[in-house]
Amino acid sequence: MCPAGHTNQDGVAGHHVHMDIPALVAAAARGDQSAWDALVRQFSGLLWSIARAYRLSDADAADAVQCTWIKLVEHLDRITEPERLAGWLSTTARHECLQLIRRSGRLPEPAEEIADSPDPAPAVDHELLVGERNARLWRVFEELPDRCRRLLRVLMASPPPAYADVALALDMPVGSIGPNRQRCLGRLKALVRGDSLLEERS
Amino acid sequence: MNDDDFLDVLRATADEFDPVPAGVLRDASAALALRSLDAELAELVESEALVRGDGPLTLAFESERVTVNLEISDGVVRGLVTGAEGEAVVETPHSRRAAPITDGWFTVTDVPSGLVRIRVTASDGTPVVTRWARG
Repeated sequence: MCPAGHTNQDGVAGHHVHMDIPALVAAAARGDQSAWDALVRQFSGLLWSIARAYRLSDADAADAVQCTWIKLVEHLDRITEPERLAGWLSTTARHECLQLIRRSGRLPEPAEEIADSPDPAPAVDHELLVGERNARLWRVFEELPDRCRRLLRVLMASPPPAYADVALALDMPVGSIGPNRQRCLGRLKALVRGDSLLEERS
Repeated sequence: MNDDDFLDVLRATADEFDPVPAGVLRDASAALALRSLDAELAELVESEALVRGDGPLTLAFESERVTVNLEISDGVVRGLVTGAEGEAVVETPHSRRAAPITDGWFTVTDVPSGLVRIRVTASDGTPVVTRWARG
C-alpha cells in the first residue's frame, strides 16, 4: 500500500526542489496517490517536529500526526489557499497536540520568558559536533528550558520550515521567531561549551 | 559557527535521534484511502468529556438524514441512531467493526483508542458517515 520510496531518505530532496504544492493538492483531491505521497514526504518532518516540540510521547505524536493528515483528507476539496498548506497543517497539528495534552490531563508548560543566555555565546567548533558527539548534543538540547526547546525542535524540522509556519505551529508572533531563535541557539551554545565532553578535541 | 550552520547541525542530530517513524509515514500515505466520497457527512454538533482524563466521552453527529449519538468509554462504543437501520460500522484508521442496530442502539467493543467514525445507511439507502472524532 505504501510505495517503497516512502521509507527512503529522498524527502530531503524537497529541501532543494521547488514543489508545486497547489498542483499536488489538486491532484491528491482527485485521488492521485503519488501526489499525496509527495505531500506526505514534504511535510511529515514538520508535523513530527511539532508533535515532539510539545513533548508528546511516541504514541501520542504518531496519533497527532495521523489525525492531522486525516483532517487534511477530509478537507482536500475545501483547501482555499493551497499555497499556504504548510500553515494549515501547522495550525491543525498544534490543535491536535493541545487536544491530546488536555485529554491526558497534563498541565500546560509554564510560559517563562526566553531570557538571553547568561554567558556570551561562544563560537562552537564544528569538529566538536560530529560523530558520536551528536548524541551528547542531543541530550544537552533535550535539557533546554521548555520554550527554547520547543521553538528549536520545530526549526529543526526537515526540510526547514518557514518562520510563518513555525509561528502558526507554536502560536507565536512571526516577528518573534528570529530573535528567539538567536537567543535559544545562544543558550544551547553556552550549554554545549559547559559540557566538558563536548570540549574534548578529537 | 554561525546560527544557520549550528541549526543545520541540530537538524542532522534530530534526523538521527528522532526521525519520523516509518509507521507514521505509512499511516500518512494510507490516509488518502480513508476518504469517503460517496457518503453524506454527519457533522459533529456536540462533544463532551464528562470527566477529564477518563470516564465516558459523549459525541453527537447530525446529517440531513440521520443523527448519531455516541458514548465512548474504555474501548466500548455505544451508539443511538435515528434515521438509519441495518448495521452500524465503527471505523478506526486501522479497523472496521460492524454491529446490528436494534431499536436504534448498537454497541461495539474492543475499539482501539484514537480516531473513530461511524458509518450507517439511512432509511432511504443513502450511505452516511460521521466526521472523525477522537475516541
